[in-house]
Amino acid sequence: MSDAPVIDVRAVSKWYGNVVAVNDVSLQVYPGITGLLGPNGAGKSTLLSLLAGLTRCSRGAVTVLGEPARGNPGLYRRLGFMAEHESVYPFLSGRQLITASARLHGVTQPAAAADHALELVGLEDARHRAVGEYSRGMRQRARLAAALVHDPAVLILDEPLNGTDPRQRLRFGDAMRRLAAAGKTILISSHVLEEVETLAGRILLLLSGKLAAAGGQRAIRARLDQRAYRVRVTADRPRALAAAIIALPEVDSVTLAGGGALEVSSRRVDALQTALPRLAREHAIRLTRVEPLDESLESLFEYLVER
Amino acid sequence: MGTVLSLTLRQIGGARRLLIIGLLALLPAALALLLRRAGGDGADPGGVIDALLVGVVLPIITLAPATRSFGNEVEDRTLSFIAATPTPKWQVALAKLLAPVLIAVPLALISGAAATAVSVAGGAGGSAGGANTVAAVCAGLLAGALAYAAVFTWAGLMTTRALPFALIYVFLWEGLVSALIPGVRYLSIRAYTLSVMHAADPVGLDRLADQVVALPAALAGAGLALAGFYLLTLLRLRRMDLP
Repeated sequence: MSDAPVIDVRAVSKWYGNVVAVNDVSLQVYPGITGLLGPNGAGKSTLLSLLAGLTRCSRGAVTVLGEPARGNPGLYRRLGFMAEHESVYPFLSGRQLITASARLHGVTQPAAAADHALELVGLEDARHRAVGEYSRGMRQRARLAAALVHDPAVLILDEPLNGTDPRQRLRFGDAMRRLAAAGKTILISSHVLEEVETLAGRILLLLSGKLAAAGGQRAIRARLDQRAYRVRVTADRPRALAAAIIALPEVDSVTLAGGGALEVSSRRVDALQTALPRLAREHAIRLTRVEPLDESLESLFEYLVER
Repeated sequence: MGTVLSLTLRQIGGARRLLIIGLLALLPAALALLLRRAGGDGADPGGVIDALLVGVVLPIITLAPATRSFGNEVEDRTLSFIAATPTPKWQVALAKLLAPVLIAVPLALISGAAATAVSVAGGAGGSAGGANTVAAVCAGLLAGALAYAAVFTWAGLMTTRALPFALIYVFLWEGLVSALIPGVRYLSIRAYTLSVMHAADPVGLDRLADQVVALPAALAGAGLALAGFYLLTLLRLRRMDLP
């Protein structure tokens, strides 16, 4: 890892009216693969748009490769950006789309570059089909090819794995690792930890517009496990369930919420998830609903219970 | 710039849309033909040109592609495909203006030339006078189409409701307010269009005399609309947060 960050974000905030999308974020991104992780609505897309210079910072500054990201069209010769939304020009074939992107980026041999990019994402057999006829995963790959057709030093990819199947994810991972090994700087966002933890050497965790944690995959997991999660559990005998749950070492507190519901606070939701059905079986309690309470933590809850 | 122009032309120039505005462009000639047959020789070209060609057909065949030039990409969020590239913004804005111009101007000129030729054929001016009137109408339409395209392209970037904005401008501001308050003509592309036509052939198009402004004012107005709204588009493109 070199000393100078490729992407340098200094105290950046972005707000729309009264809504704060990104709140005083400072971070650095270095060569290699970095994952930007956070639940839906955490501000990932806004942050990536700020990094790509497409959105103006309300406060703070972003530099990429030592240059200001905003109002600097020349930077896009060395920067590739793939937005989250899946819109493409449906009337173009895959090859026409990627060739157009190559031309827009000033590539000297756009057709050859387009063929290479199509091969990299595994779309060479569908190159002459209209993009409008592509599946969601194919559109994602076409957009990825459009973002990297000019062989940029920096790639910013917003949820590039949406809609892709496991085989495509493996291929995507291989392609990203090859690019990273060649010295590229790649920033990939996702709301699913598993998508980025296998790829990224470093993870940035964004929650409610703030940088909650930054570091290696193990460090992020440790930070996640330190958080207390609130889960609402509805059962036919809530008092009996509360008495059983409070005895669990992984539970911090239990509150009766009325309507047969309990609110359980725990720092180890994965263990709680395993223990709940066992307790219900042992005490003949019928569970009717288990749900994370804090919407902004829902995805984090899912990361943990899915593992 | 060629790539942006080509993408935009393909995006706004679908076959069905072109067919609809193409048929609309034929309306003035068809009406002029009907009027000639009903009224015999000496049909008044000013009536068809003012009421239908300049009042309805020119703005509609321009606003249809111009409001979609940026509007499509803002709505479906494909604008970043063009914006996140080294292509200078002035070239993007110019290509976005040129695309509707390339669609609207040929249609307007064909429509205007055909309608005027049918109207003046066999009239008192003879073929030389008729050719002069056709040229005058085409000159006015060119000025009007350029100015309309600049305004409506800007509107497409500014708002997702560019089409209602354009229709209100054309039919309420130019059609109604301008007729009631003469001074408003100085802020009316329709008046600039008619003024250029009338100045180029005051005899053949004498019926337009009471709706025009002085030629220098018309040329300045059309030029300011073209350059001013192009610059506003460029400024907006540079400053906006891209979707």
